[in-house]
Amino acid sequence: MLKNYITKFIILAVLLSLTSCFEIIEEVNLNKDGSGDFVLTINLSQSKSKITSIMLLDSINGHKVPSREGVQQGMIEVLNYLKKSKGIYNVTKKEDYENYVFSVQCSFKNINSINNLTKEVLGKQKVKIQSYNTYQYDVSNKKFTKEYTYDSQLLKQYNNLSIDNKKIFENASYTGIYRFNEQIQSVSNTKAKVSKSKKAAMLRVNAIDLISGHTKLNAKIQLAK
Amino acid sequence: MNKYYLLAIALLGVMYINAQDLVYKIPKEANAVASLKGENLIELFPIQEFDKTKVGKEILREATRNRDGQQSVADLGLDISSTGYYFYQITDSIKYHCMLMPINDVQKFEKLIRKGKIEEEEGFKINYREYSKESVIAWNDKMVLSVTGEIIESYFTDNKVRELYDLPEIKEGENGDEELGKYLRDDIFEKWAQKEEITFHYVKNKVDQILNTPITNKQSILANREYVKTIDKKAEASIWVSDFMKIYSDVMKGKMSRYYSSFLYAGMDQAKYERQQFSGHVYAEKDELKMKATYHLDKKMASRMKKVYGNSLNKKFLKYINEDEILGYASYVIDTKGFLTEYPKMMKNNLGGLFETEADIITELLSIVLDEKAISKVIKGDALFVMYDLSDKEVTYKTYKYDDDFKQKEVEKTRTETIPDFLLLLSSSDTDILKKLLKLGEEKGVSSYKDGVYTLKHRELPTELYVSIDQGVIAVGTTLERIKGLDTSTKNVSQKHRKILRKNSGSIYINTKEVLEIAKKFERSKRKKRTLDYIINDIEDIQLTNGKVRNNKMTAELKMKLPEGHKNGLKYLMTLIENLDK
Repeated sequence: MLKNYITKFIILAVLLSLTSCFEIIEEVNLNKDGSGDFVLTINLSQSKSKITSIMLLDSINGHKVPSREGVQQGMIEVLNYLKKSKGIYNVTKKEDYENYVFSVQCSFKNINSINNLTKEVLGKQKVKIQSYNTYQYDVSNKKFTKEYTYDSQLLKQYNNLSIDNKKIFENASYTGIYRFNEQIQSVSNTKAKVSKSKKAAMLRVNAIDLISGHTKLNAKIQLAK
Repeated sequence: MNKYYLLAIALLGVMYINAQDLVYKIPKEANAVASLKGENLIELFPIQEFDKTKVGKEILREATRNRDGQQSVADLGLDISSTGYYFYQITDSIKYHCMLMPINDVQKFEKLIRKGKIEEEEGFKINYREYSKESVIAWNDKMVLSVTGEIIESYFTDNKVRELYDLPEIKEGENGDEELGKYLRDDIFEKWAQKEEITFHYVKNKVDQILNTPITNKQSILANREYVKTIDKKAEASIWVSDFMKIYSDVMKGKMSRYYSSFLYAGMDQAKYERQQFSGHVYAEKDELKMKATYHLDKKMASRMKKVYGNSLNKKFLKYINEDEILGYASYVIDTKGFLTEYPKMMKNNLGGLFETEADIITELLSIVLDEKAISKVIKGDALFVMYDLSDKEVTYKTYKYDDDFKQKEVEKTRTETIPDFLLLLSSSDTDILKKLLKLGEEKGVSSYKDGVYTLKHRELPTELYVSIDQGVIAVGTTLERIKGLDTSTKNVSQKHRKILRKNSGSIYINTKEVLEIAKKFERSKRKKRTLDYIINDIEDIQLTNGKVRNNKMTAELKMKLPEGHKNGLKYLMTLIENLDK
């Protein structure tokens, strides 16, 4: 009994004292013919102490804490979903439960196949996000387009969170990396950086700006003809 | 002559006190009595000041709704400078919850009664609502009494009793079940109204008995020596329970009669409990707020509890504590051997005559399987958990670096995290098994050993833990220096804390100011920060102690010293509530 109380007390004290954040990385490697690879990584490593503590609890702030088995099952579901999706192949996953880094990787024949993938993958894990990305690649004009649709519900849901839960998003970031075989001629999004070799573009934004709608992830990338 | 004169004055004095104090109206057979001493409260917190508080204003607003507004809670007709009582009485047929309070102006009091029917009976008036007649308020010129009755249904299963109340006879049905017409045995009353009328009859008799029947001192609770012994005039509020195990088993039986077989609660009657009283007091003194609860155990239970709580906290623990830095602690002391031998006996006792042979076998089996002596060597039964300040610790995490071509490379970085710093101390005179376990941990890569300290590192632990085993003390904590007992420069434990830790079988101490300062760091809302600031400046340390068995009693105490600038505990409490509500 006393042991239980003490354990719970320690865990709560740990939770109280730990800050947390995470990063989401989306990578697209595009070939000349419009085929390529897509990688989505969620890195919770900076919050690993907090997650380790949370995993010791049954529930937190009224939300059920998933077990490791639950997370594994979720990853399998995502994988199975991707395997069944049209135009997607070579589906693999990586799970690091020591650092809490999870990623899924797949290849596509046409970039249209990965449209809404992030939304669907998160949706499978019961994260309802109506904001989503669509990609297009015009092979003849060598023009890559990423359209981002923002949903104001995102901000509403965020505002409904408690102060403690809001803190989680403070240092969280979203990174999109787009690699090509040809050099980039121009990028429409002024926040995007172009690599030295001019064959890659990176867009890094913090989660709060994304949630509030201050930053857009739209980008039109014109490759050298 | 002088002797008789003094005796007469003393008797008059007692009579005068009795006339003022309604305690004499409480029957000797009451199973529980609670009191709130108006006179003490008013002395500590004058009524004029109370009227200005939010609670006071709320009471006045509620009491004077739609009426000529009284200016003070003192004008409601109730003599709030006297003691108000609650008592509970259980008989074979009914449970009574009664409240008694003196009246100083019956006209003013009657204005407070707004709902229900008022009937004038001989010697008192009674108010009740048609649809809940089990609860009544009755009064005369001197006092108000509220009575709530709760029928014990099992009493009304006896056909002789049923005949008295014109209830239909219960007959045995074809399948052996007892049946009441078309109703089942569990439906003791055909209609809800029947039950209500019978309860009302009982309740009205009770009112008559208390308000009209002269009661001698011999018949009142004042003739109950056990109750009288627990009276503490200094206490602002008190509670006394004559035999809490009886109340517990009566309540359980009442509840179970509808749902369970009589077989189970027949066992309860045989449970070999003797009278075990409970008394509690609240004190709002000049320099502290205090709550005290005392369990008065029967001899058998006391001797068992003495065996369970006979030990004291290991003296060597004190060497590990640095009082200046602690946020709080919790200690617990039992004698493992005493616990393992006495607990099965207590369980057997709780079962009464039920499963006697089975209980005997289980007790014997437990004794064979568990080597109490050997277990008590490994875990002596005393533990001290000390919470220190929060400390900064460097932790590693994985992130990514991107080269000129934005090619990703995984890198390890460090960041500072604030980790709570705690220490857990346990006693053991046989540490071999723990050492073997830690050795096994080394082989499995979970623990490592260096300079007498084991380091536990596992992905399921939020932080590294250090373990040391030294002279029968097992120390587990988050800071290496504290585990090694190296933190000697400022190590000290005051006499006050030595006493709390060594003389009690359990204790909790909270350095409230420091804990709240930490909470403030994590609070963002300005309003909550202001509240915390207020509390930090106006609160002192809180301590809870659970004493050892003395004179067949176990006492638990909750104490808080008053911060400077407060005249007494009650004023402090009222001001705190007022300010927190702002």
